[in-house]
Amino acid sequence: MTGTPTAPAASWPGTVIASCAMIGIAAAALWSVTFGLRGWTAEAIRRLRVPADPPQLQALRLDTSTGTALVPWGRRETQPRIWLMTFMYTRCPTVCSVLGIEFERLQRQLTTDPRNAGIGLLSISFDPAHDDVQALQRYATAHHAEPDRWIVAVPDSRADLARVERQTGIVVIDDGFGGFAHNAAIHVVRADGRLVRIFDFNQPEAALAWARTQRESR
Amino acid sequence: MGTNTARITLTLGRRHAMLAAVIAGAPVLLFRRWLEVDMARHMLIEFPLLLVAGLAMAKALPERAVALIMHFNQLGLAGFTFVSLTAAYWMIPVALDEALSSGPVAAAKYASFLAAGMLLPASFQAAPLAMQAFFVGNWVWMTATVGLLYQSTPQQLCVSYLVGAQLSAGEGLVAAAVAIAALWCAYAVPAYLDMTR
Repeated sequence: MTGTPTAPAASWPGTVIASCAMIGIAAAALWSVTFGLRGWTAEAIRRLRVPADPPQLQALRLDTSTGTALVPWGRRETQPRIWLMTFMYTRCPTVCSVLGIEFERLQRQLTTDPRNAGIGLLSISFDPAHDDVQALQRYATAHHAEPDRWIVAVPDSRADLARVERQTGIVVIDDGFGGFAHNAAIHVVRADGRLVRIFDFNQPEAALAWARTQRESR
Repeated sequence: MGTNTARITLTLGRRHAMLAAVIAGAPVLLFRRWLEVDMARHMLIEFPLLLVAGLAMAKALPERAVALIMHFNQLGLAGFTFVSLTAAYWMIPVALDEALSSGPVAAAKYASFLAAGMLLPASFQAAPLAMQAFFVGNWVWMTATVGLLYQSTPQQLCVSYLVGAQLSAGEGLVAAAVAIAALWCAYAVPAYLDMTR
């Protein structure tokens, strides 16, 4: 490793150019991975990227808590709706029950305020191993979900689940206590299957207001 | 005769270096999932293993390749720049997440740490103490700061890692920063005293 007497002399211009090139490449990589230095976490960037370039979600087949099948978007035969969609698992003791309570409150607003017509709530379980129709039913009953306003469902195949997770950027990891940790958010999905906005789970009002503007613009 | 002996030791040296590279690199290949499923193991075991594998690989490089690299590495500046950029980039939470979800990003991570390891010994040899102090010091405060940030952030920074893992990774980064600072001082202070004697 030591410089032998025959080794060519080190060059300052070469060194400076090499160093600057490395800094340039690193800066480009940084710019790209942080979405123009606007976010440092994958979750922040997901929420920034969606409004900038709304992803088209592929058709998703769901089994609902009432035992029926549903394709929530992209099909002509289903009643078109704007969805406020969240991902959860029914055994979740923490953030999903907060989401459940928020959705219960939103459901009351959907029922009482005619301006909210055409907006539906959708809770999708990412835990098909535990969440069968009975489990979904228990969750729906506990949160007083009315099937025509709030659909509690699970994707009918692992492939559909993996695809919708990938397309929305949902990552579910084992929490080490038999449950899961996951990014909790409210996703606004148009009837054509475009995911147009992602709101934090504690901003249901903002999500509902945005959903109304989306419906009016169509 | 003299050249012959030198060549033999060099070959042996290379063979040992390759062996060391395999010993450091194999766990990454074999236990990749286990290493990467936890944030602290990912950053504090896998990254250093890759560096060590790169370090050993450098010993196996032909001398002409080393000379060519050092031509662009006056006083170790380019090498240290590369190592610093690599270390900084893979501490960004979203970069860490991407390395788990995307194959090309993962490949870039392995390649950059191996290359950083390869550049490290030669850069240290070429760099005067002042240059070393600048880059080591820079890495130390950066790593310690990121470690403290990981510990003080209540929300989950990586979608792939729990807050608990983030906490231990943060503690580990601070410990690594302190350890490297101490190690470098243990080397640099006697070296400096030698120089001024």
